[in-house]
Amino acid sequence: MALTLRAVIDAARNQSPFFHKSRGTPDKLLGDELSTYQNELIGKAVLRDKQFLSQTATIVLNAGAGDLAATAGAGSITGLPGTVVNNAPVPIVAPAGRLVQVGVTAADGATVIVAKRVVSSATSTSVTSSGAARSVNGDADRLLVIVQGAGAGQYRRIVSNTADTWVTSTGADGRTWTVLPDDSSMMAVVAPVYDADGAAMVLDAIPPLEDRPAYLVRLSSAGVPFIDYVAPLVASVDVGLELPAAAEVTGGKVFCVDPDDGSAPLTITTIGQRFNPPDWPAVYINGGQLFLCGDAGDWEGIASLALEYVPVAPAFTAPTDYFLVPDTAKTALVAFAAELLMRRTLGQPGTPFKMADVQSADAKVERAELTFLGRLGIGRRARISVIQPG
Amino acid sequence: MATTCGTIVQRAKAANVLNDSLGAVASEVLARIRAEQQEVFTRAAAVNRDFFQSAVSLASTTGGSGRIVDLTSLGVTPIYKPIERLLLATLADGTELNQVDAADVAAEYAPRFFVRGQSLVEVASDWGATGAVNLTLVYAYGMVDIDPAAGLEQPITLPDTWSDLLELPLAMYFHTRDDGRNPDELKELATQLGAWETLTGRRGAFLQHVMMTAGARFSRFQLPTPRQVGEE
Repeated sequence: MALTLRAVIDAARNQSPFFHKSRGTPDKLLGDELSTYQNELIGKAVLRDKQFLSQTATIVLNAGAGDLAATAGAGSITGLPGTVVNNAPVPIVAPAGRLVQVGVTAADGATVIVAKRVVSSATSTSVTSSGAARSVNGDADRLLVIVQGAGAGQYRRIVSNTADTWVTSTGADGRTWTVLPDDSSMMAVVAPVYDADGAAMVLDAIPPLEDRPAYLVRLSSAGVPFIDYVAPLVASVDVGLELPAAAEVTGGKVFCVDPDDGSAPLTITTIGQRFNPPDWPAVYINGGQLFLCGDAGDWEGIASLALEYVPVAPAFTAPTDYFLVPDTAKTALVAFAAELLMRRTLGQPGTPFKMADVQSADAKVERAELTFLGRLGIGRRARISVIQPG
Repeated sequence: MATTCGTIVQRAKAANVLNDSLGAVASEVLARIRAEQQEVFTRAAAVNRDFFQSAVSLASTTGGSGRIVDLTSLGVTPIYKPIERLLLATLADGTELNQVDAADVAAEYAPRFFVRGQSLVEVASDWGATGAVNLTLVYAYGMVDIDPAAGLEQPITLPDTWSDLLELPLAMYFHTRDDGRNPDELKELATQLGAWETLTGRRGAFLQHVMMTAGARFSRFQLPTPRQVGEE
């Protein structure tokens, strides 16, 4: 996908000399309307082809006492689900939630501080690259990434650095290299980007339950009402996983702990059948949240879930943002934006457009939309199946 | 060499020998020249954004949000010409700033600014990292101000070839100050001067000059101007 909001707006404005933004239609207004229209297109496209724009959210089953909120304190090696605020990870005290993903390449949005260079030597707690000429401790809190060779794919937070050596662990903090880099390795220093968009989630307990304490109002000896925090009445409620904004969840599968057992289909059932689903393992979705059916025994031997869904495109926040729909939708998007621009110039001094022109532009949008949706059918028909897809 | 206000007064007096005996106070004629010249630049900027165009880099105030660029600093700095009409504002990396209304700052994507009097004000922290930010402004410039309390040696900003746009109104002013003069003289001066709206006389010729000097321009859009007369 390489279609930016800027490209669509420019193409739409190029349709007429009267479509300059100083005529009263700012980019933001077009972006807002195109956000809505893109989701309308996605909705129509999903009706034609469920696999259109399908994305996968993974859910890791990580049930174990060591990961519960009660034990994941400072100094503990266990953790909690999290979110991201101002590009910094923040823990969420809950038995189920999102995982934080880390982007370490420029393509992910990370800032590359030191481009990839050869590792001269490494220990379990540090990496040296001769001639790097870094300012002392200038790279602290950034990430050192092994991008090639021995240990590739690992990254560690930088504790401190000299001109050519980066310390990545104190040795006692559990952050030593899993695979030791050597002089065959290449490294880079990056300022990472964090994301917790729901593409990866975790369940720390099966089923995830949450205590909801509530309190009786007691009376003191003087007859004054007070809350007795020592004696709450506690109710347990199921905790759901908040799914990414999805137009539709289209399917899923489970992966077993034992790789030899492979994967199996995931049953997505209704809330009414949650105690007696058509097949196991099963989940149900309620209010945009995913809940597991059954108890721990029903999920034994399962390591993770993969959920297929069609996303709701987020609103544009900058002209450089990308469309989720493919480039084949450009004609429809441009026609839609041009129709909007034309409509907004009606009645302005000097504008040559009349309502009939707007109606003609409307028809053009419909034609372009049908062409885009028609192309989806070509791809769908190409998939050979003995069962008529839903 | 730029024509001075004193020369404008001399030429205006030369329109009629009767003007010689008029005792004109310097502050009075300087105020007339100032007002007339301001109108010339305002009219020119309204119909053409190129003829009196200039670019400058200005530093904002410091801070992390709501930073301000003071446009009046252009007028008091002799090397920069004062602003008459802002055309474009960009950050140091070339990113164009979007102008929004102070009451509707969400109308456009960041980076944004709104205009408060003679200042550009940053919306939120749109202009980037904390500290002073350099904005590059492209603008149609106006006249360098004339101080009515100073002397007649102050130069005008208009090109010398169009100085009669200031001389003729001053000659008309002298005429109206002197009771009993032949009204035909006033008519003749008014005809020579012409009118902005009808593009007649010297005023009309000046606007035509401003509009056509740069020739045809290739443009994707018909950009609206503040006024309809003589729109590009």
